[in-house]
Amino acid sequence: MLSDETIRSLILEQFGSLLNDSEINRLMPLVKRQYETSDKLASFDFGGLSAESTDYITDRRITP
Amino acid sequence: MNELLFKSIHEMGALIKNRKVSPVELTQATLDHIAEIDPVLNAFPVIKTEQALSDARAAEIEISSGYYRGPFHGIPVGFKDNLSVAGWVTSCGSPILADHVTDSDAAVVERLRDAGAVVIGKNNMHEWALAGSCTYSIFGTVHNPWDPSRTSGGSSGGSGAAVSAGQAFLSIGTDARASVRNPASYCGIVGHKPSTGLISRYGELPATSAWYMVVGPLARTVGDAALAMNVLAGHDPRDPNSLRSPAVDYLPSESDTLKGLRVGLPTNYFFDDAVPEVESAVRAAARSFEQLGAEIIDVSLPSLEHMQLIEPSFESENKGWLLNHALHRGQDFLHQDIRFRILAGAFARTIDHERASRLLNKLRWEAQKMFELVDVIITPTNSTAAYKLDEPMAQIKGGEIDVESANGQSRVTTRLTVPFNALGLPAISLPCGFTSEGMPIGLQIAGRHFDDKRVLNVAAAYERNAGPGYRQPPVVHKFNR
Repeated sequence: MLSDETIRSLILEQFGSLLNDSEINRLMPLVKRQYETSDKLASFDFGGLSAESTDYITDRRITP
Repeated sequence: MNELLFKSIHEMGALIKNRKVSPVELTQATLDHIAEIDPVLNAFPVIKTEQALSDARAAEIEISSGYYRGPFHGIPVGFKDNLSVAGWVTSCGSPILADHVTDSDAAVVERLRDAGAVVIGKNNMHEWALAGSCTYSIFGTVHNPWDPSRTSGGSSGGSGAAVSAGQAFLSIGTDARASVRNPASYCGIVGHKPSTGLISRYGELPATSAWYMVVGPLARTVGDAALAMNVLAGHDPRDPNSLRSPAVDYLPSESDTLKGLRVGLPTNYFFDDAVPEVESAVRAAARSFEQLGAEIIDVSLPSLEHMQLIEPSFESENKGWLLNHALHRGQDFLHQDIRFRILAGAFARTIDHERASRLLNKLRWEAQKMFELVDVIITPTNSTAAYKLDEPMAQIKGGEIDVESANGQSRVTTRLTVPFNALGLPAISLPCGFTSEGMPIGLQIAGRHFDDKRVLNVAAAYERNAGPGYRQPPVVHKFNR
């Protein structure tokens, strides 16, 4: 789980000075949820390359 | 109030064809009714009086001279404000497009005009169609005709409220997660989300909207929705999502038996949040199907438990093109709730889309296997009836949930409908009862891809034999003269 400090720095890295402090504070919980979703998606074992686990996008670089 | 405004399109079409009702008088009565009732509902913010009356006069001349185009000839209709009408502003409910005049008709507008329909105006919608409500719009909030203190649902909320309240015989909406079926359910009418690729999206704004978005009819009866499908369905080379399909007559059979039909009743996901009144109405509908001769079979789609992981990944793709507005003009040109959802979507990564695609593929396999066992499945359209606009908390089975939060909004308004967008399958919502507070409850029936006719047929049999059918909402009686 990313810390609040890390999330704030990720937002600053992405949007620079386009958002003020209050806007960053409002955005932080939403970005945190986005990363939680990423973590949950990453936790799935999608198996190998059987038809049932393979989608129309198959990128071997991200399929261990 | 003019009772003619509440006839079915089938009935009104016959009256117009036989010259018992004049399209001009009908259009004028519709415009008068809108003028009277819309200050309460805010469903029809754009009305084109002169053009509508001119189109109605043209229809009357054609019919008088023996040229009758079919059941929509002379029938007043509306379109959600993300569907282009030539020479009109198409705003998507957003100040960004407040002056955006489109130069051609959307395919669905063309088809209904060719069928002789009279276009009255544009129906209100949630800004950019980005919620299952109709709260944030350049035109203001839409109110529910069953109780104006409650949401109409959305994002085609203006379409749902207008058709329910007799302001149009039909409105065409769009549905990426719930937006035809949710307002149909909350407003006590019928909304059909067709199979992906069946109805052309040419002329829908924004052109970059989600791949799982479809255009679909909102009507007062299943038969009227089927009549609309007969006009709207068909391949269009201008829409890259449009698929070739065999010509089908969508009008439902008049047989009252469902003998031989296999109806799936889900054992997971769809009843998790449903309040008791909704659950019992849908289970009573299942018993009605059984009485009509259908076999009820328990089914499950285990991967739906991960729908909340699939949906946000694709939603960020849908909203990404608005990122520039969110960053540079966001303060003034986007509702802040939408603006921050768009900004957060920028943190979804390509690998998230890949993984979500794989989860979705798993769900597709499960759905395919399920539809080997059953012909249709039935579910609630929503877990609750329409919530109060001034109370951000909605009651679901497990407790209260904040509908103002992005997560709460989708859980309350789109959770049970979005799977069929992701799967591309046809799904209809029609009334199946009322809560103790008098609010409509929606039944959802979904089927195989391109099996829209069966879905409409099953819905019509239920509507004719067991369902409550369309009822006039209380708000129209306040204007009864």
